[in-house]
Amino acid sequence: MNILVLVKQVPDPEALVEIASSGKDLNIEPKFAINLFDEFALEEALRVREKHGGKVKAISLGGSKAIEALRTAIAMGADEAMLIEDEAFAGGDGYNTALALSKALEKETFDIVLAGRQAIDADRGEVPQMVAQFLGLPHVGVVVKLDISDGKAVAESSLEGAKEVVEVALPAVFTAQKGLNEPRVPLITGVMKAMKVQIPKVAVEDLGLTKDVAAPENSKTKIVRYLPPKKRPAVQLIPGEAREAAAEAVRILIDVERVI
Amino acid sequence: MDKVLVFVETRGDEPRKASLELLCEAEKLAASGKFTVEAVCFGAMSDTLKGKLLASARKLVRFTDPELAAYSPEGYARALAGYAAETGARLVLAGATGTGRDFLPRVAVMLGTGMVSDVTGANWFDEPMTFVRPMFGGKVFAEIAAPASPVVVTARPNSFAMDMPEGVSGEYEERAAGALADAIHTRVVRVEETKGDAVDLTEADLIVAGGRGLKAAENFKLIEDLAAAIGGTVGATRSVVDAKWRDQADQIGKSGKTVSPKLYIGAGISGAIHHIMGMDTSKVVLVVNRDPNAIIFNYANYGIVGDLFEVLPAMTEEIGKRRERG
Amino acid sequence: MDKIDAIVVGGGLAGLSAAYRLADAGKQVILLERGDAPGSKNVTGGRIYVDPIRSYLPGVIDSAPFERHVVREMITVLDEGSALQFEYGNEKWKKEPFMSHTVLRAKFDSWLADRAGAKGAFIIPRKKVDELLYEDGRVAGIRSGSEEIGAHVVIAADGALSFLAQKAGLRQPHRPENLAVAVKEIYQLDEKTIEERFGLGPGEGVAGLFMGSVTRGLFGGGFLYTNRDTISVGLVVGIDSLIHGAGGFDAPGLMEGFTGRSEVQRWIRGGELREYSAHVISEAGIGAVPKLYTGGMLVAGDAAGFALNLGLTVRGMEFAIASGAMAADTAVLALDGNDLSESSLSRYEKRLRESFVLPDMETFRHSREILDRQRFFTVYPRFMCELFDELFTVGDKPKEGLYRTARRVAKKYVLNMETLKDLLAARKL
Ligand SMILES: Cc1cc2nc3c(=O)[nH]c(=O)nc-3n(C[C@H](O)[C@H](O)[C@H](O)COP(=O)(O)OP(=O)(O)OC[C@H]3O[C@@H](n4cnc5c(N)ncnc54)[C@H](O)[C@@H]3O)c2cc1C
Ligand SMILES: Cc1cc2nc3c(=O)[nH]c(=O)nc-3n(C[C@H](O)[C@H](O)[C@H](O)COP(=O)(O)OP(=O)(O)OC[C@H]3O[C@@H](n4cnc5c(N)ncnc54)[C@H](O)[C@@H]3O)c2cc1C
Ligand SMILES: Nc1ncnc2c1ncn2[C@@H]1O[C@H](COP(=O)(O)O)[C@@H](O)[C@H]1O
Repeated sequence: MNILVLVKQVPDPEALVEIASSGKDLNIEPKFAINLFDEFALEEALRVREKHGGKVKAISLGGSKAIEALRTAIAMGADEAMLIEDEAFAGGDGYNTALALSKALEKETFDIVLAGRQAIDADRGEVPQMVAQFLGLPHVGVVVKLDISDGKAVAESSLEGAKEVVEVALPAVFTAQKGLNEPRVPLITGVMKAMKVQIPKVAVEDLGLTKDVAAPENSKTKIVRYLPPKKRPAVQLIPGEAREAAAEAVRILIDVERVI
Repeated sequence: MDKVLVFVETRGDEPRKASLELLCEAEKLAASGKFTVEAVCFGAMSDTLKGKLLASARKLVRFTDPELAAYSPEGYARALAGYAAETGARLVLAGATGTGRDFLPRVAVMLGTGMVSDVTGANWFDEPMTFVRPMFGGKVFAEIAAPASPVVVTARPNSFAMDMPEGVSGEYEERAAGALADAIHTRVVRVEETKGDAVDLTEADLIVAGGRGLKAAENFKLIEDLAAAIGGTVGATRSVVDAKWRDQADQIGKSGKTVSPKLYIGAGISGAIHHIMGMDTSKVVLVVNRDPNAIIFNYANYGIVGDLFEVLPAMTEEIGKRRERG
Repeated sequence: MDKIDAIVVGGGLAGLSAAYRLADAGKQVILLERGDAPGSKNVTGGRIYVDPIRSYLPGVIDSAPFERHVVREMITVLDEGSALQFEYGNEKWKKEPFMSHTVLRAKFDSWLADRAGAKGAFIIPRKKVDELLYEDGRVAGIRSGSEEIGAHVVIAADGALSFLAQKAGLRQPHRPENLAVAVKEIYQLDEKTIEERFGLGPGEGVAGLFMGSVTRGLFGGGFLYTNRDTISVGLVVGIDSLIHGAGGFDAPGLMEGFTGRSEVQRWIRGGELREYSAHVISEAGIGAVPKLYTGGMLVAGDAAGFALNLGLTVRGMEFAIASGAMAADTAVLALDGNDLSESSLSRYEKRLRESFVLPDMETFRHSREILDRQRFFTVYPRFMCELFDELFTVGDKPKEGLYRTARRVAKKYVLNMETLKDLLAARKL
């Protein structure tokens, strides 16, 4: 069973994110992590391999720093990793990201592609489905349980409130949701191995794409500027004993805010 | 005139709220004279449902292929993209519901075009069109231009006003996409309705959420009671989900759902940034916490410093009283 | 057991500088840090002096991500409702090379971790070391969770509560009276506002100290450091005084009292609270320095008790960096000579004696006893505030002359035997 995992390096969930004074860039505290949901994907890939044998390969598209996310993948237990190195993809749109990843995947032999439900930086949740479409493969999104047997997969998807059990022939793409598993913490020896390993890098040109595929002028969508979230006015504390405060709160919600 | 397709998602006899919001928004586009709008719908359709949709869409097209009876990303994408290509659509719109976000990316690739996911605002008349969408869990918003045509867009529930148009009575058309069977490689084995018919959190107007301050699973009854009293949906923090007091589907936050209700009431929630990221676009926020320093007060419009075990029942009771009085 | 050259436990400054030097010498070294990243769990008021450490991190320290160079000291003596503030500035401090800088540990530590990583050290976060492994009566590695990793030498740089030193039998468990609790908050304000508010030029910073009645009748010290676009403020209170003072320990409450004082508010007003942390500080001084080595193991930084609480300032970062580097250098020699015995590693202590570390610790041997004299935090601040109060208050009664006022107030507070004893004690400093 050959499993590919799409791994994105993103700013740490705790990293401070601020809009630069130009309004056209973000100043992000330089703390990085492997995308939360990709950890679930990786863990699942390792579990499938442990059960069915085969290989796990982690693939990432990003700047040279993204190699760290791949090292984490190796430290967790991935057999191989590959970086498609192109700084421009840091802000690239979903379409071009998926295009480049699908070109890379075309060169691989695999049964399963696992990806995260969403990258927690841009919060788009587009790339894996697009990759599937580029490759003409089926996908099951937001998966919380995955069983593999006899060349097919039975996946539990929690797209909406309801859980849907879906059967699909392999190869197929799956996006991992929290709840799928509990990602392992890499072993010290795993980390040491990962730090030493040579991770191959390829350029988008090697995939048959033009050099500037991810440049804003070649993107289907582009970020014009960033805007701050609306600030909530300072909290109004409702005084009084529990009963009084509760009654006053209800009055505000009904008469002042008119939301209930 | 530019064609706008609105994918309409339905559940039983009801259009989903996110779809209705988009139909209302699209009607404004139609009224401007610059756009023509068609609502596109798959699967079974009762007369009740048809009636509801025709009151808000000037044209409703339903694809009757039996393969579309159940959701499949490939089938839905192919039918919608095929029709968009055929009609030369300028804009393909869907609610950013689980389903919408799942298959619209495939539509974009089929059409060889860009997509903007989970938008909370739009300038439809700009050239190129621009959209606003949250990033980094709402820490910042990005304005995105979409010069490619068509543009595929999913819109976050509760982002566009539901001003039901008056006097609209649209035409209805049935079509078949054809040749779907070979295109669909997934098969739905079974569906577990975990939620009955309650409104899904992401679309809910009113949410009552509880955190670890509730102390035990059974105490969520207090949250449920208040939710029932206002007709809202129950949400939870990750700690509570991890403790198995509530189902994963109830989790609000970075690793759960993003909600944008008109009213969010939170009790016994400390306000960890991961939770805030899932609810900060709520319009009115009221929180109850007995710790006056709880961070959640920084993200609330109204706060009660007090014991939720006293405050919640008192609120539920008070709402009951107000309802009685009319 | 398979062995690597060295394991460093703790990703604070001591551990990181040790890892850096070991890797720089071509040794195979892993550093294990229990937090999410080096620096994530480390608390510092925020001021570092560069000269003492330059030779230990040659060539790198000057590119460190410092916040601002300190050009002014600001001292505030607090009484319950009044305060006296004075400042000392020196034009010399505005010119390079700068004497001291404010720092934020999250940034500083992760920078040093990157440098060490670039030299080839394996910096591994989220790994708590649980046990030491022994072979032939010598430390020979560590256990972390289910993993056992062998090493020729272990450097314990696991901070003030170091349990490794304790495990290795190098020191007794800590006594509460030897510890102080520190609480710290970081407020964000933009660069310009900070510079305008404090009257600073670009890149310049202030180090502020508060002493006396910091909060709710509790005595201790407070600090304030200006960073690039944040301000660090915090409190240090002896666990003793907490026990005898404010009743139940409630760090956030104490901080609220402190940051709520107008003398603090004026600086942080409008700032957005970005971080909150609490930490212990060892206050025991040289008296609590454990044995620093045993076969296969060395202890550095706060773990070795290398920190000085001088009442007004805490110094520990330079000690941590220097001792970490010296532990590493000792280990390198021992590894090269293939002798990791206790006597071989005893050369560490010799190095420390020849550096500033042990001599400075020695010089301030008595600072702790002096701090124990409550009067430094109670009587004297009150005396100073009341003196000024009397001088500046004009009421309906005729005013006495300056001298008479001073004498009367002094008599009330300081013209007594106690003060004489305090003065005698202070001479030891
Ligand atoms: C990568 C990552 C992703 C995460 N994703 C999410 C996510 O998606 N969603 C999420 O929610 N969390 C998420 N978390 C976890 C998050 O950081 C917090 O741990 C969690 O939100 C805390 O839940 P809580 O507020 O219920 O519990 P607590 O932090 O324990 O807060 C309980 C609160 O209840 C109050 N309280 C107690 N008793 C009473 C009473 N009787 N009356 C009134 N108030 C009372 C207390 O004062 C306290 O403020 C994530 C964490 C990480 C690291
Ligand atoms: C409030 C405050 C203000 C201060 N102000 C100043 C100042 O202005 N100037 C100054 O020079 N000094 C100051 N100090 C002192 C200075 O911060 C310390 O002396 C210095 O941080 C010591 O560094 P260290 O590396 O020895 O320990 P630490 O920085 O405490 O690092 C120890 C590390 O070990 C890790 N660890 C512990 N146990 C384990 C384990 N079992 N396994 C793995 N990892 C472990 C911890 O997570 C931590 O990262 C201040 C201290 C405090 C608390
Ligand atoms: N640059 C990338 N490199 C590798 N995988 C990616 C990249 N971008 C997105 N992905 C994968 O697609 C998932 C969803 O990302 P997104 O569509 O950007 O929200 C992520 O969780 C990853 O698994």
